[in-house]
Amino acid sequence: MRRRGDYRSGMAREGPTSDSPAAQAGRRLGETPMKTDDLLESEPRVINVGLRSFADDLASCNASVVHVDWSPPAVTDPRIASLLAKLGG
Amino acid sequence: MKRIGEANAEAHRRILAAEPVLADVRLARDVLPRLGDRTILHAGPPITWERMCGPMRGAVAGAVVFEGWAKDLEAAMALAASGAIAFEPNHHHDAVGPMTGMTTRGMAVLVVENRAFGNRAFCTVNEGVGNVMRFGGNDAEVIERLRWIATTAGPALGAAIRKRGGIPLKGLIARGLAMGDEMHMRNAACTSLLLRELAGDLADTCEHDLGRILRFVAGNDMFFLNVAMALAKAAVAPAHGIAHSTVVTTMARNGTDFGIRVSGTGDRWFTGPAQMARGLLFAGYSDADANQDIGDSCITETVGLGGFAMAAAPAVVGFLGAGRLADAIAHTRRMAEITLGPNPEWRLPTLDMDGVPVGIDIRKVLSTGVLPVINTAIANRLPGRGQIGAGVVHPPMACFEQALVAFAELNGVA
Repeated sequence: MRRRGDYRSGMAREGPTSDSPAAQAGRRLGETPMKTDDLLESEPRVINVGLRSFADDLASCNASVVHVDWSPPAVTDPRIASLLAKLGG
Repeated sequence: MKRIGEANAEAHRRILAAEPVLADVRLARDVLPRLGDRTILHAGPPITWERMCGPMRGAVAGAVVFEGWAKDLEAAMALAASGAIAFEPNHHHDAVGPMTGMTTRGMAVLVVENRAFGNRAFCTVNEGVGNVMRFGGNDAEVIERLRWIATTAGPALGAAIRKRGGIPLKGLIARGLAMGDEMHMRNAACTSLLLRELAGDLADTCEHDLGRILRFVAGNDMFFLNVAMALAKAAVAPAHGIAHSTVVTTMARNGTDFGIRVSGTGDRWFTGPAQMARGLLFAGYSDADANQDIGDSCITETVGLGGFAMAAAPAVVGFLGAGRLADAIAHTRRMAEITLGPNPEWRLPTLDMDGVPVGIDIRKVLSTGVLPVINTAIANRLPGRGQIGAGVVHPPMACFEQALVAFAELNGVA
């Protein structure tokens, strides 16, 4: 049976190392590499973008969730997009 | 782009400046000068007999019998199919009609005057619920009721309205919004307010059937719908035909097609398939029983009522299957994204007294992907079976795409 300590060390081995491309990219962007411990041991705080039903489901489980009402760009027809750009849409 | 902004601001200004007054009830032949003999006005964009849905055909047959152009329904159907009857949209005559929207020369119509601009708009008198012509009903009960409205109730209501010089509607709508009406699927408050305004004068002037007329109005929460529709048509009409304006001045459906017209593209219709409303059906009915979206009543949405004012009407949200009050508020908030601005005279208590959103801009619809939301009754697809539910529906996006392309061509934008 795997103990919790084993699990965390396993995750650490599989996560980005300090020299990995992901870690380097994070440093370049001024980001802090993900802290796996915090993710697993703290209460999740969720930002839901798009479909409200996902946020509703989480909220019904008493999870902390903020919903962002967003949808992909509406215009997919290049002709309509071009006309809207010219007509101020 | 500057010209479009100025034109749209003018369209918005004209809609807000309207002063609609319920002025009279008259026979259509007396107030619609271009409504010819053997002509039937219908809801929505133009349509031929061959493409009409079941309720529309049923209503046409009933209207033919009502006018005496055929002796029975079978002969009426044959006459309509023969090409001997002319079909024209209500909107081509400054008129509107709910559901099938039948208007013929012998029917009584409400007359709403926009006294700020001097134009008038017309709508038939609401017949009540159940077996009625607007849902395709056409039997003897339906015909008798329409004759009674034309010969007794209509003239009595008209005399009472004229006696007091008309009933201003703008303030009445403001009070109705605060009392839980959105003026499309809930008209309980405004029907009561109108009857309260009218009752005294009606008692003074009515010569026949006073009790029946009072019960007829009081017993139908949707009586005011037709007043609201004529009001909306009268209010939005002055905003039609403004060069360079991208504001929607007509939304209407005939049960087969949904059509819109835009201020800056004149009288041309832009159409797409009428959609199926999503909502709640009465017990015993399924989606297979429902007709496609039908009626001119979504003229109310063009002036910020109906689905655009859904936040005003918590009592109707569940009936429409539209969710919770929070969803109704979200609907109204979303309509603000596709409109030019609020109407400060029609405020919503549930939105901290913000005004209803007015003036649909086709550019905003297309750039956001947010379609106008319309509250609606759902008709049985079989003629004369009446209403089977209520729900929410949208126009097809194709209408707005066509309108934008036409607008661009008209203004030399490639």
